[in-house]
Amino acid sequence: MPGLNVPLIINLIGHTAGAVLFAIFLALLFSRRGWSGERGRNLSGAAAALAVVWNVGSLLVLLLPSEAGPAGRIAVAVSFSALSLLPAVLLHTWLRGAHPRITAAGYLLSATATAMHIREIGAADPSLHRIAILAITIGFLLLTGIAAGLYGAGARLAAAMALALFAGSFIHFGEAHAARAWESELLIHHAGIPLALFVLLQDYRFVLLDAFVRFLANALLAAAITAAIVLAGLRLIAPPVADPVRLAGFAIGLCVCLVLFAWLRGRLFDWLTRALFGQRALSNAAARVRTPPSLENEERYLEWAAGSVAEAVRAVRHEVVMQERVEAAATLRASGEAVVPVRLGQGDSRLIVLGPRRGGQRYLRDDLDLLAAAGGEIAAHVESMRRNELVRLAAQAELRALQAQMHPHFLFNALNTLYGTIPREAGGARRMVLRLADIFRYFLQTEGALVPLSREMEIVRAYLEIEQSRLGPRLTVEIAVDDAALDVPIPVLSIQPLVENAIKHGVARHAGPGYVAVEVKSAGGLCITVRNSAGGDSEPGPGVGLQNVRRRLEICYGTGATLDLRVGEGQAAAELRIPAASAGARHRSGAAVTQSEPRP
Amino acid sequence: MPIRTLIVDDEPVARQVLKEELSAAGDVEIVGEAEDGAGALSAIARHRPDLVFLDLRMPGLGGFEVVHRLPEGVLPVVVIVTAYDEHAIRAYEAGALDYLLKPVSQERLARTLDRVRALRGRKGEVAESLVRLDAVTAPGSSHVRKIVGRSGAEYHLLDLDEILAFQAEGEIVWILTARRRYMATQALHAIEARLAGGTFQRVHRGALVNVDHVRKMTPLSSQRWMLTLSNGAELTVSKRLAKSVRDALQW
Repeated sequence: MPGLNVPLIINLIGHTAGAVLFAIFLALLFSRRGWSGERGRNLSGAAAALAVVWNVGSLLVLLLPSEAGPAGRIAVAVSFSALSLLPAVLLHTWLRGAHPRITAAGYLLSATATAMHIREIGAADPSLHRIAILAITIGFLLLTGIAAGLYGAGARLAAAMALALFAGSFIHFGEAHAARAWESELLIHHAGIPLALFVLLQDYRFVLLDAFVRFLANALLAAAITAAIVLAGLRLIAPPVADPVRLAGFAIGLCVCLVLFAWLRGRLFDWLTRALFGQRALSNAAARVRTPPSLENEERYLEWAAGSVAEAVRAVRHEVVMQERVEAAATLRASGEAVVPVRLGQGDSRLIVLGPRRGGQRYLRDDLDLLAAAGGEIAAHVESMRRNELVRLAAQAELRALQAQMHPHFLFNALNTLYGTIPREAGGARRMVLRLADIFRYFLQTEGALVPLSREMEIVRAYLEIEQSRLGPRLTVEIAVDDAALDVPIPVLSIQPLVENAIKHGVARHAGPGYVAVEVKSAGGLCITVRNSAGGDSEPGPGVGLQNVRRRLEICYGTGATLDLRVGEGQAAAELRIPAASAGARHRSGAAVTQSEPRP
Repeated sequence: MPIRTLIVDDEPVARQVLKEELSAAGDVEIVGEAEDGAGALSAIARHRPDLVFLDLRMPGLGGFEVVHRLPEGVLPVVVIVTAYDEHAIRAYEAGALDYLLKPVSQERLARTLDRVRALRGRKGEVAESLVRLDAVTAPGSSHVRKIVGRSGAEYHLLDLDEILAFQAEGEIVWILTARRRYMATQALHAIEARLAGGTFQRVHRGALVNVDHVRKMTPLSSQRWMLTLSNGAELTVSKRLAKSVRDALQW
């Protein structure tokens, strides 16, 4: 290309890109979210900082006029010094204190070279630069070889090769810097950047790595496409040829390139997510913990969930820790590479501590996001397990008490015999036996925690019928139920105990006539009022029945339902408010509305 | 014509209660009583009742066993009577015509009788309900052990192991047994779905075969096979299904 200094352009772009990349890397590394551990950050930071200094220095050297005097020479010396120090830091990062002597030798070599560079500031002939660079190249190639031999192969061999290549790319620096053309070495030179990055990123906990790699991939792709466009542009529409067909072709090509860029970028990110970060298994893990094998016990479920998450991320070990014991677990920080919080309720949290991943993979930002999502799923599942458990317990509490003393078969057969031995003419007595059987059957109901209000009211009526025949004219009963309320699901035995209470503490205590009035109003939710006559000494009392009502309401509606008892002059009232039947309330209770009597 | 009724219960008072209430109904004739399952079976065979009130818990054979062993050709309406049984509720959901909880009130019994009257002459429905009731064997499990077959106006409960094959012929599905054939009351795909997981295997578009009755499998061409059943009947296996038939037979 006439009139163009291609190597200079590429060098300018390369160094600018290098400076920007490493600056971003530094910023991410030292941002609050970017780091998950403590080890290794300073070394990586130092390497990145040196890379920034080298790139900026090189840019200055390229931009300054070739005979810039001391300023230019200082820039050259600083740039070269940074470059010479870089392999020592990379070597240190790679070996991580495994071979202190080799690391020390690396630093010594770099220090010597740096001293030589600095000495050259005052000198007129830059020959020492060349010698220092040569020493670095040969020295680090040797050290890398020795270290690779000592360290063994495996995943780190790639790091060794990268380091060696990086060191090898020094060769050309000795020849000349500045604006001289050395096209052939350019590729090797800039290949050093990604390779050095690879070394840098090899072994420490840089959480934003995935974001950074994506950014890098994005930038490289953009650079490649731009280069293609520029080259095509130079060839097609360079003056003096200004052919309109070529211009149009160029414009169309430009559009195609831009579209291609978006498409390629999507594919590239997909590939990075799948192949490089291996996150598909992890997103499955979040779905998997939702459908566990049947594990009744909460602790066992947590253990299983932690195991399956650990398996998905291929962590070498895992552990479930109580939140309170976190401070005590001193080993946690050292052993755990990632911590997944599982919030089960107010002040009740577990932590799933995951060990390092197999195959040297690290936990990246996306991984942590997915792990947090899995933690949420686990917490939700535990919550539903707890709810189910509560409903089951509450529904079975009375049942157990009754069953422990009397087998239901015995009870109902006995009632049947009683019914049969009462003459048909004694209709009232037979009716009472039937009502009694209805009530007992309702109490013994095992399935479901919610029933339609109409079903509960049947039992309330049956109960009041029995009480009425017992108390005779002393008891007046009034029942008023909104039609709209009849099908609303309510917890089993939430009204009958209130009525029982009204009789026991109100009407039955006094010699005179009394009443019980049940009123159910439907307006959004339900408002159920049980009123009864009462004397001065009537107290609602902390009956077991009322406690059970409160507990059932709490399980089904949380704090959404209220039960208020009021004792006034001559009368008492219990007011039960149930929120509008939401699908959520039914879902949380984990029970369907059931009905035990067949309806023709 | 009165509803000829049998009462089965091990407790005399329980039988007495039902008898009293039923005799008040007018169109019910009590043809007998039984106090256990064996007695119930012989009474059913002897009286061929229209309606049986059946207690589930009895010494010896229980109520479900009685349904399972109903004598050939008798299809009574069965009403389950029980003191307290989650089984009964399951039976009702599975298709028992009705169930009653003790003590049985007069009004409840009247409703049951209304239902029974509505079913008179609808033998197909009664037979179907018996099949479903029969499938309720143990708590939580339910598998079909019988199937309804029609022969003219007669309905029969056929044991699955005596059925050789189902064959579709246009709209009609034939049930083949060793001696004769019956008309099925359902389409072939419905029968297949109902019998899934059992010994029946589809051999081509229009036939289900009981693999326990296959005696011979002869290759016809490269992929087609001929099945010979225990009564000598022959059926071809379609190419598409040859593999699954051979898997089922472990050929």
